[in-house]
Amino acid sequence: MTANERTSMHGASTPGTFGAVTHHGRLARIGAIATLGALAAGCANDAPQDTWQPAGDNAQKIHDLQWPVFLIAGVVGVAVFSVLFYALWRYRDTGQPIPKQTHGKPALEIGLTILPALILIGVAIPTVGTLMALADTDDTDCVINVTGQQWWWEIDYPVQDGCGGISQPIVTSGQMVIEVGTNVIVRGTSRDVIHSWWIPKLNGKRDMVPGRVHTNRLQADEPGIYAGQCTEFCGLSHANMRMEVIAMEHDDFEAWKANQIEAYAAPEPESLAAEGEATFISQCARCHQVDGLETADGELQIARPDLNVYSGAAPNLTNLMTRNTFAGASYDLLNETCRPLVWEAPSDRVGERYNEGVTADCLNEVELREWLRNAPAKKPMYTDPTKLEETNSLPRGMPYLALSEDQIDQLIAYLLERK
Amino acid sequence: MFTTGSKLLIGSAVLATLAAVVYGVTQVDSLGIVGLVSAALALSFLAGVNVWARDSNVSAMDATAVASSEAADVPPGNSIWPMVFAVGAATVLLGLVTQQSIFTIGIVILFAAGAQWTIQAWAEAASADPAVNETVRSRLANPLEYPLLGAVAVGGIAFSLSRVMLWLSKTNTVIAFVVLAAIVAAIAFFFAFRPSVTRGAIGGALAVGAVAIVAGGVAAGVDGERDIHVHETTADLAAEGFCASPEEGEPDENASQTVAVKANLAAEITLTRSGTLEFDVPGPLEEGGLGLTLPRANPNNILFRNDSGEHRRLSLDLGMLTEDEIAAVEEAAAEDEAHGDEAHGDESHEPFDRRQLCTTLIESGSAQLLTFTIAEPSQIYEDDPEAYRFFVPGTDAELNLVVP
Amino acid sequence: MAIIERPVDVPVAPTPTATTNFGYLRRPVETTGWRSWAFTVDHKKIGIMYGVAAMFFFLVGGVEAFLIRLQLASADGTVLSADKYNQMFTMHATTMVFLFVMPMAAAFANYFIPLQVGARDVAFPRLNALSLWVFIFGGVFLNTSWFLGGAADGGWFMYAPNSSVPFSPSNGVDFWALGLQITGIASLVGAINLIVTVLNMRAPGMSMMRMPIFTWMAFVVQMLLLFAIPVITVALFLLMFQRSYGATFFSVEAGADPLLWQHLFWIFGHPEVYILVLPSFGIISEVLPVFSRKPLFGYPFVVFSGAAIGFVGWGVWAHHMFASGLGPVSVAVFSVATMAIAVPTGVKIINWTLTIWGGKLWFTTAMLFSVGLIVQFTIGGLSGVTHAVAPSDTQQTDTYYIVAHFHYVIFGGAVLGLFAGFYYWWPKVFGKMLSETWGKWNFWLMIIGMNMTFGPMHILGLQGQPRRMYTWTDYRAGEGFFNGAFWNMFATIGTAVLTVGILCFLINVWITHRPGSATPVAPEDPWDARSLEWMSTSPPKPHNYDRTPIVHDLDEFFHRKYEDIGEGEEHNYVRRATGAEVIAEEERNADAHIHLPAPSYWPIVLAAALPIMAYGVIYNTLLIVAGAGVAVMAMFGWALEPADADPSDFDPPPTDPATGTELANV
Repeated sequence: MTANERTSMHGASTPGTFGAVTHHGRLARIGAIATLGALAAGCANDAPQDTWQPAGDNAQKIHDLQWPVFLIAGVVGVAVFSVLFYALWRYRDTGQPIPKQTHGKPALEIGLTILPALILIGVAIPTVGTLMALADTDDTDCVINVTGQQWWWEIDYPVQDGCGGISQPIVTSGQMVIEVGTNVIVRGTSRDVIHSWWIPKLNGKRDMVPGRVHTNRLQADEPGIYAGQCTEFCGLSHANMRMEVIAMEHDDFEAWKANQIEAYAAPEPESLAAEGEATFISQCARCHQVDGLETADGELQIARPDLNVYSGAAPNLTNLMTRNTFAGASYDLLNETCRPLVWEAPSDRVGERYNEGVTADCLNEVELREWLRNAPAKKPMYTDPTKLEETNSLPRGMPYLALSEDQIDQLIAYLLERK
Repeated sequence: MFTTGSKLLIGSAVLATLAAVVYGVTQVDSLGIVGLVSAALALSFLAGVNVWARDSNVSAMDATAVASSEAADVPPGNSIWPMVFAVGAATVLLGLVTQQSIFTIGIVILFAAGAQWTIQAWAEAASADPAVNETVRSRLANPLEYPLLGAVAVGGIAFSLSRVMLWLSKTNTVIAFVVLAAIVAAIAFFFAFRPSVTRGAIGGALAVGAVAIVAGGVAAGVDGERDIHVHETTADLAAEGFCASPEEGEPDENASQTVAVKANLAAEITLTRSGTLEFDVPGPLEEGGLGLTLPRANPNNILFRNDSGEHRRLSLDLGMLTEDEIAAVEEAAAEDEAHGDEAHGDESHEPFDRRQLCTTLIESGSAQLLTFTIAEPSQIYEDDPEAYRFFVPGTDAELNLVVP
Repeated sequence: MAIIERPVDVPVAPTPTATTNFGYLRRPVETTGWRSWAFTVDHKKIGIMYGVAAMFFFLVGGVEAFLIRLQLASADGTVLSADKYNQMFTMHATTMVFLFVMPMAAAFANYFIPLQVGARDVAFPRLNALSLWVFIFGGVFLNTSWFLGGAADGGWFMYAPNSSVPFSPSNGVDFWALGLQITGIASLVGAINLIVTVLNMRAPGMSMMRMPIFTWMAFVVQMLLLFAIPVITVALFLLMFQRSYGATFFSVEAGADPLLWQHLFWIFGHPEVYILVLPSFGIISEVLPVFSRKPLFGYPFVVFSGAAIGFVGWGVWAHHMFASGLGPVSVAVFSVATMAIAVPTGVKIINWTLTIWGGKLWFTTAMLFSVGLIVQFTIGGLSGVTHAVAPSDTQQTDTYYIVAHFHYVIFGGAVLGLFAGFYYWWPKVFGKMLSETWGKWNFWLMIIGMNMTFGPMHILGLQGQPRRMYTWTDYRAGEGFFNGAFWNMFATIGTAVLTVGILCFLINVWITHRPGSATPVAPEDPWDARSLEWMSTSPPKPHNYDRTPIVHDLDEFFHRKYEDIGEGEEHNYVRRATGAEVIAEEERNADAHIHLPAPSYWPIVLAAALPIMAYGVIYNTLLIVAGAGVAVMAMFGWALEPADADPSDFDPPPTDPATGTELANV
């Protein structure tokens, strides 16, 4: 809707709007005003999850279907209310005699029954067509698995020729990186309760149900960061289960992939980060995987979240600082100075800025510190040890770890190198 | 106000309360206290109702009322209940020396006969008019008798019918059920279109039917059930270590696991006629990957299709067992040997050292579901004994499983 | 008329008489004090108690709603913790649906169905009392969870597996499942009772197509309940066994499919929507003709569209699951079916508009609420069409757009209709008129408040604010003045306006009924009404009608007041009598020997047994046994109590128990 508003205000000169919207702009504007006049005027300029600002092929298909429906609904509404309010005014009690006791006119009734039926048939046909188009998986260029759990998304790129070739699995969380213009299929499931995957500007939502694999098409026309949120109520911290899709140009995407599978680089010996590595192994590595991390006796450190948290998974931190949010995309890893540089980057710079990752200067140290100090106090999670008898003493979410301030310093130094 | 009835209830409530106190002081467990306190509460409640609602029984102290009561002068009638009560008592004794079920039946008879005896005795003294007494008895006893007798009758017929059905073969069961239903419908139609049929005739027909079913049930019950075959489950197969075997267990004709999800599965894996394993997920994964990628710590549902032309199963190898687990397996195998494994006769029970899951053996052209959760990631992706892989015992077909 | 009648000839048993009356198994006789309410079987008293209890729960649910809006007024709200918020929205929905709208509709149905069909009471008066008390005890039981470790926190839809013990370890969900099970019993018992009443107890001459439209709609609702409640009963049993007895109906690792719950819940849940709105449709279909001074336009169309909704309503449940991953074919089928159900709904709106058309409109508060319903429900219906379009629904479902939609449907549809009913029938039920001035404040503040509260939610939803979030963040609210933050605050202010509107209603009731109130007794026929229930006194006598009405016309009362002096096809009605005269005429020809059911102690005792058993399921198996004991005792009392009270129990005893109307024990 806002797109339409903008189009109507700035005409075709607005860059970055899409042909279809411009084409239908005028009609859509009438529809918007007719249906929900106040509503149209009241839209935020740039809500990150606006369902009326499609930024990709799939969302556009939905939008092309929904605005005429809103228009029809608006026209019908205006017609009904005009007749109703006219009647209310015209037939108010002005001392007229008792009206005729008419019991109805069957012909009129039948006519007025058929009319809405015809309108609805007109709506039903394109609905079914769009449904089938949105369920197609044949034109897929890239497959990405997502797995929901309380209260974050794990995202993994299986080995494939698609996505420009993935030679080694990439596991990340909270933020999905895709290449602009490619048709991505998200294959989603869940480890505990039902979650729902929704990137409003790219497609409608799809519930991710444990034991089932559901797909969701994604495609972005322009580079950018597209916000999303879990939309199936999934328990305590449902409101804090977010995700983003970062669409970037081909070269940036290739660079991102290469960076993700880079071999583990141990911290400089004797540095604060090296102490952090030891702290990480003793405090964090039970649950959090860092690929390539070795214990003091040279064995690969393999996390066993299945033994330590109820959902059986914890975010992979191998490349934490290449992402810019943490804890279910609830909190920024970038501080307020650096955040706009990435989030509001011009579309040709998005990939480049994103791939810079989080530097020490840009780190949102305040919130990361609060998180490490006492995670459940920051984001509601089910970790109170006295209330875990129903889950074999396993917490749901990250528990309070009683880390000392020194340990937190070390961990932050260590984590800053994870990119 | 305080009539005999209410006094009895009040006294009992006090007694129950005292007993609860005594029990509480002397005994440790709480079950008795709960029972006694519940009894005290219930009795107090009943006493309260009794007092509040002005129980209008003739007071025991009112000598004139009792003496003048015509009902008191009517001699008691015949009763079958003392005899039934005695039978119950004998059954209880018999049960004590033989088996518990007979004892239970005896207790039930004792209670039923005792209750009937009590109600009859009370009803006969209610008034001097036998008709009123009969009404009084019915109103108290019928709400108990009808549902209980009804339940016993329905239960008996249902149980008998179930015995007959279990005695017949699978196919004949269906035929028998259809025939029986058809007979019932035919008789119902016959009666419905002939209002002149007497109650006696209908009752007779029903009684004959009931007797026939019960008799059939007894006969079938004595003869025993048909042989009901229980298929092994994936859990059994894994526990027995049969997943590497190409022929262990028998082919499952109507392959279906206890999995509700039949669509939107994690993957479909097909054993082709040429003996390779192919998998299908939405998208282009099959073109050049290492294998199938599935999430860790998550219940996955996989469908296995067998197009090979032979009986096959799909097995999943998840690497070596830990030493502790191998020890546990060996111990179990030793125990089986010692006791003789009933299910598999004298087949030798090979100890196994790999963690494997599998479907049952299925016929060519059918499909089977497998549900599994993998805890640890497959850190090493190729050519390693610890790599996760699907395979089909008896063939070379293999498919890697990647768990990031 | 009623099933249980006092025998004219009380059989006199031989001495001692007392033993034939079974001591405490007498029937209560009080006509005043709390006993006259606790043991009553009078459908009118039961209806009033349904209404009072439902109104209480409406206020409880309203407080919950207010807390929800306060929490969401600004970003990162701290009014409620995440846990309390989740409980709050779960219980807000549960309370409003199961403990307010359904029982309030039951209150109207209970009170007015027997009156509108010309009966003296419902078919099974004691069962009627049972459903009332079961509902009240069930509702109280459900709400005791607040004090026993927290209420249910899984949303009113309670999707598995989030409702399983590991994900919801408090007893809240147990209370929810068992509480709804209990109130479900109340609905089912009530439904059977009212269906039998409508089918068997209509006055002579009242064919189905002469039944007042409210009775018709309530009848459709009872049929829906009859088939919908068993489904939720099954689902709740599965949930109870999953949680309390280790069953695995929804355990994925044991091979279960969690979508099973969704199907069960919505096969119940969608008809439930019609269960909520159809009674209000019935109410305004009574109110609009009265204040338009002409018959309901197209009565048969309204009836059949109601029945059609009742049927088609069973084939659309999966539109709640468009994002659940059913596959495109199922989604397409349900999408089209959902559009189909918009047709009979549209028919109703057309008929209401045409009823107004050509009338002589009298804008009383009841009329205003009815017109308000048409407008607000139309908006809700049109936004409903936008998500019958399944692809578009995948953008809208589980966002505030849906919250806006169903509040326009349920608040704008059901609740406004109930308020229209309050104002319309208040003089009938209580004999006093509510103040029209306060009524108009009530109406306008509610309308403005609801549009301020729920209107912006359309915008919030389309801008991507999901439902059921205990907090929202500025980063996702957008920029500009009219962003999400603005509209969230706006909606919260709207809630305050709405609350003041509802307070106006309570004040209105208070000033009308407070001791020493100057409000005069209402006239017998204040609205020049049309349907049969107005042919009784206000409030109606315990036996409803002095003589059993004989029905000749659809709007019987209207036709007794007005005579058609037109010729042939030309109708021309002139007033021949006032309502009071018609009623006085009935009084003069009162029937002798009117038999009414006697009150009973046992319905309330039997109802009390159910929550005891439910606590037993949660806390201790022995309590189940104790509750079952109380239930068995109550059933025995029920079966054994005499058909009537002994004449000697009356204080004072009736002068001549064998003759005249014996009404003292009602």
